Amino acid sequence: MRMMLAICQRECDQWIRQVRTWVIVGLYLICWGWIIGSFELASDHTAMRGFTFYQWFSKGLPLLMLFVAIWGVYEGRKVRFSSLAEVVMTSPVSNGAWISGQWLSGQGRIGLYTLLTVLIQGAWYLWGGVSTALLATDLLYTGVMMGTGLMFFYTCAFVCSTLFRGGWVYLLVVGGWLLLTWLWLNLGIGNNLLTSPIWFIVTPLGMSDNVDSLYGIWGTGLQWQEGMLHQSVMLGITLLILSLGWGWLARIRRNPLENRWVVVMTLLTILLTIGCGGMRYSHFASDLQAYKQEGKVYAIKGSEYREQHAIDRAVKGWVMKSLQLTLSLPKEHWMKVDGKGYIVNESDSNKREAWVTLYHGLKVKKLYGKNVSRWSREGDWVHLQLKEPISHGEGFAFQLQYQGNPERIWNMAGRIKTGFIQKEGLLLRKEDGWYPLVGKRRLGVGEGEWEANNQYYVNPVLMRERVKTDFDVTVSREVTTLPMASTLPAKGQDHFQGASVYGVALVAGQIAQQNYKGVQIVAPPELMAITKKGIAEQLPFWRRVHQWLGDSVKPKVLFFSPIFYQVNWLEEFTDDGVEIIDERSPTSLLKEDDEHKAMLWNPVERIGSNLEVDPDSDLLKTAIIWGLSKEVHKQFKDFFHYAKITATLEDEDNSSVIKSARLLSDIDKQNEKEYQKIVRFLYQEYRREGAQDFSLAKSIQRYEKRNEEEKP
Amino acid sequence: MIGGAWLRGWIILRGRLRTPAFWILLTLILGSGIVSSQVLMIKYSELYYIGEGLSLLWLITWLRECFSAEVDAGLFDVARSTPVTVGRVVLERTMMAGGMYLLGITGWTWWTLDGSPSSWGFLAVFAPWHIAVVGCFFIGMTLTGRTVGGLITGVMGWGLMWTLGDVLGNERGNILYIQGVMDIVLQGNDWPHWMIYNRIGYGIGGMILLLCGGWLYTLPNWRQRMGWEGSQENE
Repeated sequence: MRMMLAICQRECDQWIRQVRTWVIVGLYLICWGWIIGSFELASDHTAMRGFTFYQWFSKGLPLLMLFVAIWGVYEGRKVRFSSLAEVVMTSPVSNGAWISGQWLSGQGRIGLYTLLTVLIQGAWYLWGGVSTALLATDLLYTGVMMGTGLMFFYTCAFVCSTLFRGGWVYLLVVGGWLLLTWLWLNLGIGNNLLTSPIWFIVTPLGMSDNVDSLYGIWGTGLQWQEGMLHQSVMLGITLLILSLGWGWLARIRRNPLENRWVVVMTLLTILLTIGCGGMRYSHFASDLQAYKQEGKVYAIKGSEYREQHAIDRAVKGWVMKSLQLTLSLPKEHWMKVDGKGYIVNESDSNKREAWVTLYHGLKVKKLYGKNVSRWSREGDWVHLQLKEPISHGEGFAFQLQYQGNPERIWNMAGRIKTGFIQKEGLLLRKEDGWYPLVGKRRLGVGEGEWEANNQYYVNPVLMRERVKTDFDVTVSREVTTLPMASTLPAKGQDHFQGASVYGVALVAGQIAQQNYKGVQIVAPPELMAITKKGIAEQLPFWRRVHQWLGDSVKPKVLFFSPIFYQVNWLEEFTDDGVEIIDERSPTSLLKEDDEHKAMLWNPVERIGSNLEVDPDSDLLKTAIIWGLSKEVHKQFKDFFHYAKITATLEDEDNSSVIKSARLLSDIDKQNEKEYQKIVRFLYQEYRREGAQDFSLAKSIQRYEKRNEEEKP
Repeated sequence: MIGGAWLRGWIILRGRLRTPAFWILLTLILGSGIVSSQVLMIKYSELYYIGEGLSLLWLITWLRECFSAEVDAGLFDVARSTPVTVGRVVLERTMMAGGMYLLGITGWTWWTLDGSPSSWGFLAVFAPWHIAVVGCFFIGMTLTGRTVGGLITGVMGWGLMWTLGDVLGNERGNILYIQGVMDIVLQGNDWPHWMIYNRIGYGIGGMILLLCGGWLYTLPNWRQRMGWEGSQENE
């Protein structure tokens, strides 16, 4: 051991004295200097230092891994081929000590580069006035992610080059890097069999999808356990490769390495890897197990959800008119709620039973009401039986008390975690079912192309309601003193009140809530300035849409989700609701051209799947974009030309949609005002009939008929 | 004259060909080439990864392999005392690496695309950027005096374009990532002016880098001439 450390010290000493070392360090500093400098000097400064750092870091890390792998091969071969190795043969230094010393010095250098990166990040954050909580979290994350990722590649490459003689080791290592990075980056794509929990365990944290989000609004405790556990698994695997390579393969290949302690070390690293990996696996699977015990499927696929969702929306049933919640958060992972609600029957028939959804981890203590005779639970659903049948337009009141822990882990990295109540942060989304949602709802809904066996890694999606509910939420908390925000307007300290189509989400952390020009912004403080700028930029456009279509698209609340949400086209809240913006797209508010704005705020939804879109509503959407965007006018010669490229028009002359498109195109060429008038009429017809029943041809006929009637 | 270089090249290559590991690796890579080309028949978007990603790494690792005997072991110094011109050895090694490169992923890709006008289009899109990366390799190898230096500068050129591509916009080297370029090439449409200038720029720039690197290497004791001492460490 002493000899190994001496060799390591000698190597490090040599390394520090070499000019090329400082040239490389200088180049590395120049790269970061360029990134930081161009960010700070930019005129449209967005104050998103964390986001920018990770944007570049996640791009550069795989590349750094490749450099480190090549460097590892070079170092290993240097030991093998240098004449010094022959001298060593005659000296008391053993081969084992010599090679391990070399490897250790490599690790030391990787540690120094990691430290350098962490220092650059820390200095930048401190200079930019980033909060201390975010600073600590990010530095920890960068350190462990970079350190273990680079160590893994260096070790693999170094071991290969000490075991195999040929220069083709370079090919092998570069090929291995390509294969691994491709697999890691494409884990979630298609029906890849490698997307199993075991495979996620061996993925460096930074390579996992959607990890570098704005998790920084919460403290280190939320990721310390998961992050360190994950990195321990990576460390275990690295050491395993080292011990297997030198302990067993080297012996088979008659490589004169010292291997007295290798058996013990191999066994120890196997135990470490299996132990940490097992703990990690159990974390992923714990929620799944909980659901399996109750015989419920945890998550369903997005496509199934859409079908389910379409049915939910088509059938009119019960709606929640008002809900009053008194939420008490006395300790971590625990909540207690007293609620009062009023549910109204909107269906045409009389009803004697109702369903309410509440996360199964929350146990109902009491549920009563004048008209409620009995209640029972079925997983996430609560079944209410009524004494008297309720007819259309009437409702019933109920009161309930429940308590429990609504926490769930969605993602392999443990970072997409929802429904948690911790000292360092709190996130209660409406979709976590922490308050009663009317109807039978699927709380485990996820979006993405995932196989049945790993649905519990999917990203959560948003749920939509049909009507507004009046909420009144009061929170008393001892668990955390961090600022709290909600999708509802704030009425006082921890008191939120208002009507919302979306529902209630509560977030506590480095988050702020402000009203700006009639829009409630819920965002981390560092995003507040850019959001205001974005709103100021969008306002004239919202006004124009209002003038043109007679409908407001201005959102009541802009909620910057601190976790990655999969917002699909069915689930966007543009009409009188909450606009949920995932953490990557605050800049989407700053898009300059009208075409993007018209796409972002288009009040017409796309009905159908991605492949088979309903052509009527799709053409109306296109017609609105054409009318609102000057850029589109510049690019395309006429409306029909544009619609042919962007909307799904069948290539048949007798198609009614094609005819409608031609007609609109002709009107637009002759008279712009007339075009605006007809599109406004069509949009109002669309609102009246609903997206499913809207027919363009019939609406145009009605428009022409009305015009004829008006003429005389 | 070039025969001498070929002969020694063949002896070295024959040494490589005799190792089973080499054949396993070659089979794996050719296999992956076939698989990728099969994927390509359905999914052209994979061309991003193959034409401008995978094949470039394949090319520069082969270049390193072909030059390692002369550069790393100092055989060029021996060659200088024989009637074989160093320039010809450089040329011959480059051709050898080019051959292996064509045999690999890129060759299979073109083979699959053969028969469509787009195959020549893709060749024209890829070639200038590939030449530029080879130029990076030569410069790195010449400056450091080791093939691994070339490998690192080649990877650096490739990787920087990968990370900085978005910043450069239409001036990027791997232009297939730019929206619309894939359609232009696939449909055999006329290239817009910026695309032509971009490709000519990278082609000429790459050739300049390549020739500079190669020519510098043919000069005897150039490192000493420039006052740079050659390192005693050999790989």
